[in-house]
Parts: sequence; structure tokens; C-alpha cells
Amino acid sequence: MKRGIQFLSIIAAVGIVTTAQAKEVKVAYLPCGQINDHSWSETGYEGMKLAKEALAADGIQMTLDYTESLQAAQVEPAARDYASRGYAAVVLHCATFSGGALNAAKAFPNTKFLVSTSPDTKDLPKNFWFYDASQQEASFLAGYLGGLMSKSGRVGAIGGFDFPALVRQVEGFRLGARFANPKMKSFATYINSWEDAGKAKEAAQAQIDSGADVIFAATDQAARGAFTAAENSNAFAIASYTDQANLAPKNILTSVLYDYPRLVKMMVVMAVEDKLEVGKAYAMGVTDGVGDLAFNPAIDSTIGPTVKAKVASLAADIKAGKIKVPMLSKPNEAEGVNLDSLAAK
Amino acid sequence: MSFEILDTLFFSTVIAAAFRIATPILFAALGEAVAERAGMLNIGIEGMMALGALGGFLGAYWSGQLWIGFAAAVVVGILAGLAFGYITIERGADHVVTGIVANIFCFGVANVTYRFLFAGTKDIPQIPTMRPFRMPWLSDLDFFGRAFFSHLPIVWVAIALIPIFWFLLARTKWGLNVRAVGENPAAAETAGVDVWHVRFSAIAVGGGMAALGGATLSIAQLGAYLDNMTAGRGFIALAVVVFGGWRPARIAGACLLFGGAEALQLRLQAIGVPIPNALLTAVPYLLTIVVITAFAGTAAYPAAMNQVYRRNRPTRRLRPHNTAVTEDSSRPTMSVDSPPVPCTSSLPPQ
Repeated sequence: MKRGIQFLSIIAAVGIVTTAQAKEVKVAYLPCGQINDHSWSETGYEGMKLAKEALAADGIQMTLDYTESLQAAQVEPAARDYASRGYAAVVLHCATFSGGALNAAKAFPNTKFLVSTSPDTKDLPKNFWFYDASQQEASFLAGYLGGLMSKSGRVGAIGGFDFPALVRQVEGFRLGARFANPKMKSFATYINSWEDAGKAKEAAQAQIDSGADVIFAATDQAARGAFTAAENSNAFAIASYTDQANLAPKNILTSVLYDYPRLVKMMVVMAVEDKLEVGKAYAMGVTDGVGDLAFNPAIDSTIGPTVKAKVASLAADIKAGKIKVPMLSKPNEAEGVNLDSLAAK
Repeated sequence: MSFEILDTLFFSTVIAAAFRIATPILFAALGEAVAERAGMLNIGIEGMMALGALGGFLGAYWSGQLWIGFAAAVVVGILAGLAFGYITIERGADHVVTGIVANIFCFGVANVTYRFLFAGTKDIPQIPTMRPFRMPWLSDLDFFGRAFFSHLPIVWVAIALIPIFWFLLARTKWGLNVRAVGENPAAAETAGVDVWHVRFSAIAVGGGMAALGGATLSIAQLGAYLDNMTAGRGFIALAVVVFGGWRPARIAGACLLFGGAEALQLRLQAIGVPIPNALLTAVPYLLTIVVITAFAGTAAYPAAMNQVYRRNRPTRRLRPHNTAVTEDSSRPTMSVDSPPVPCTSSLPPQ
């Protein structure tokens, strides 16, 4: 009984201490879709939860609210609603939400608006930031690895759609392959689908028929087709977004991972702790841990320690700022880049 | 960009790829041609392909035999076709509406079944894909070996089915019945053809062939089942049937043309020809439409397509039981016993 009272008093004391110290803050999350979509909207939500944990460690109690699956036209009222209720930050994790977010940001200067895509204007309010993963950096690393592993001197990249956020991955890969071997010939195909694995397989086969022996796939489930083509032709494949080595253990060299949860977490923590610089565009890549290669352990010996060491050293150079990977958003741009210009002066 | 790639190796791989790309569409289109010849417009073949892709994959995955997978797909497809037949032939529902429902339903069933069976399994189920069928001497030829004699066995099955379908439609009694039923079921019935049976058999062929096309994707080409893996191939097959004028040989030509254009555009894109990717992607579709409309002549739809035929059956089943309904009501039905009412002028007399 005595021990019980002691225990309760400790709990009470801890409770009083924490409530006395805790600063409370409300943050809203507005994704494209649903927070359990196993995809884009869920990665952002994971980031929100990580931010909540990180802030709790700093003694800040973050309340996380979200509104799912909004149409672009519903975004501004929703964002205004959160802002008017005293939310410190509103995170808009969807490419089509930037316009509505911009209008709401102008009306509510005391709320910080974090948006995953930049609107088409330079005139941004002071409480408006956009964040982005510099995907070209990790895909550049993948291209470098592919370039080192290619025996034929030809590599291929398959993209889902021809738009800047995807082209930069495809072109980053091609530039990386050239960085490994300046005489590298690279192919790029856009299949206009996230799902059509049959088409991706034919696209990969077309590249393999043209001599490519490393295929980089920057598309969704359609990538399975590229892996099958690589398996049938004893070529290597490189996966994107999630670790997919188990789908073709003998052929997938590596998976390119972009840590969106980490990106969202860093943005929210900085916003709540007032550390965001006004007017700065936050594009995070390999340097910030938002972009990495997950090597396939099953073919570790095929890749070999020398190649791995070279890739690690290039990653270190990018982190140290010695190599700057440009963001190329037009198809075939990588072919024209002067390789010497990548080394930062 | 360089054009030194445009050599015989390049063109032989284009031809080989054309056959690979054409095969799933060809299966579905041949089956659909038979169904449409019998007056059954089945726009649900996209969904039936998906169902076949799953049924075939499961059959092959569980048995370890690719051919058992194909057989399973055909069975699933026939069942789907018969279900479509029950709703349209037996219950007299509209083909287009039923087809739309069939697409949604089949996709739903396929995706949910796959999830139900494999949700939470650590390893994603995969099977080894089909290996090419190599022929002695022929497959070792430089150009022709690569282009024509390194196909998967299932491609040869598709090629073999082209003359078989032509023969079935043009030279057999069943084919004659199918065509008669598709043009004028009432007249066919008068001549002693069992419209009900002919239409059911035609739609079963259509469903089975669509499923075979889907299984070609999942078993022969990818070794896995993926949601929406048919990606519109069923709808392409529907268009090919029309452009091919419901004739197996022309349909095969249209499929190969589409496959060849797709194979070519993928290769041109890869080597970086200075044409926008969006335009190149559209080339197979545009080319198929243009060429086929230029060469196919004026093929007419089977006259009785999407028409409900009732063989002196009471139509009460679609209506409340206590409603008295006569045979020829507002619904466009044809019946032996109730010929169309002579058109009398509804204009008032002068």
C-alpha cells in the first residue's frame, strides 16, 4: 500500500513536470490521398508522425490533424480553416495543392505553409515554403553504379511519364552512368504508365536488344516488367522507391530510396522550431539523408568491394559538396552536360 | 543520337517484339470477333482478361505447370463468358451496360482474390516465365531465326489459331450459324438454328480467349499477377475487331501492325530520336487506325449486334410478376412469333 502511494506520487510528479514544460503546437496535414495508401500520402504521414516524436523529445507537444483526399478546389478553404483555428503549420503534401496553399498563406501570415511542389511564381509570401527531394542525386549514384557494372558500355532507363520530377531521375541516372564512363551510351524510354508491366518489359527488352546490360526503372509496379526482362537476358536492373531486391535477387543491383518521411519530418520540426529561412527552397538529397542506395546483399560478391568503395566515395563527395549534381528536367539533357562542370569550384 | 543501330539486328528484334506484343491482344480479339459475329457485343473483355491473368497465374503457381495455368485461365474465361451470356441472352440485359459492369466486377474479383490469397505473405508470388521454343536450324538463322523462330510457344498457339478461327467461322456449320445468328436471329431460328445455344457457345469462346490473352501476360510474359496488368489491352482488342472487319486474318494483321508500331516506337524512343515522347507513344494507336481504315474497306457491324433475342420466351423475369406484358413492348426485341408491327403513319390525316 505504501509502495502504491509512492508510485502514484511519482506519476503525479512526472505529470506535473511534463505539463509545466510542454509547449503545445498544432500541425495539420493535407495529402493527395489517404494516409494509409501505402504510397505517397502515407510516406508524408509517416514523416508527420516522426516529426511528432522528434518534437516530443524536445519537449514540444504536437497535435497532428489531417484531412484526406481533397480536390484541388477544396484545398484553400481547408487550409484557411486550419490557419484560422491557430494551427502553427499546415503541410500540403500534394503537387496540385500549391495554388490554394499560396492564397491561404497570404491571408494567414502567422501560420506556416509547407508545400511539396513549388507554385509557378517567384513572389512567395514569407510564411510559405516548398520542400522537395533532390532525386537526381541518388539516381546519379545509381547511374554511377550501373555505369561501373556495365560491360557493354550501354545502359537504359525506363520512366513512367515524361514530366520534370521523373525526367530528373532518368537523366540523373544517365549522367551518373556517363560519370562512370564518359563513353557510356544510354537509352531512355517513357512508357506512359505506372502499372503496365508488359509495356515496361518490352521497353526494357528494346534497350537490351540495343545492347544495354543495366536497366534503371523509375516507375511504379510496371517496373516488375523491367526486372523480368533483365532476368531473362541476364542483365542487371535497378529499382526505385522501395527495396525490391527480392523480386529478382540475381539481377537487381540496388534500389534507389528517397526518404520522404525524413524530408517531411525535418521540414515540420524546423517549421515548429522557427528554423526555416525565409524564401529558401528546401531541396534535400543525399547530403540530408533523403536519397540513398540499398544494395542487394544477394549479389554482393558480383558487385565486389572495389565498385562499392567507388560508389561510397562518390556519395561522400556529393555530401561534402565536391560534386554537384544538376537537376535536369528535359529528356536527353544528360547527354549534353559537360562532366567537368560537375566538380564544384 | 545515332542511326547505326538501324541494322538487321534492330529490325529482327522489332519483328520478334511485334509478335510478343500482339499475342495477348490477338487472343482477345479473335474471341471477341466470334462473339460479335453472333451478335454478342462483349466490352467486358478487359475485365475477363484480368480474370484470366489471375486464374492462369494461380493455376500455374499452384501446379507448377504453365500449361495447366493456361487451361485454368480458359476455364475461368468460359465461366465469365457464360455469366455474361446468362445476363444478356437469358435475362435480356443490354450488352454495353452488362459489359461495363463485367469490367468493374472482374477487376474487383481478380484484385480482391489476389489480396485475399496473398496478403501478408512475405515473398511476392512469382513463377518463372515461359522460355522461347527453339527449332533446330531455323532458330539459329541470323535474321529470320531472331525475328520468326525464337517465339514463346504461346505465340505459336496464337498464330495457329488464326487459320483455325477463319476455318471455324467461314467453313463450318457452327460458323455459319454464328454468322446467321449475328445478322438475323429470327430468320436463323426459322431455319432451325438454336439461337440460344449458338450465342452461348460464341460468348463462351469470347470469354475463354480473352482470359487466354490475360494469362499470356501473367504466365508467359511476366510470371506474376499485378493489379490492372491488362492496362487497356482488352479495349485495344475491341477496336482491332472492328478495324479488322470481324475477319481473323485482318484482325491478326491489325494486331501485328499495332505490335510492330509499339516495338518500333519503344526502340526509337530509347535511342533518342528527336520526336516528343508523347507523340511516339501515340504512334501505334494512330498508325493502326489509319492503316486499317484505309485498307479494311467498309465492313459492316453484324446487324443483330447488341440486340436481345427472345425465342418465344415470356419476358416477365425482368419485370414484376404481376404486370401483364406483351411480347413486343418498348424494348427492342425480336421474336419469331411477333414480327415487327408494320409502320403506320402517326401523322394526322391531311
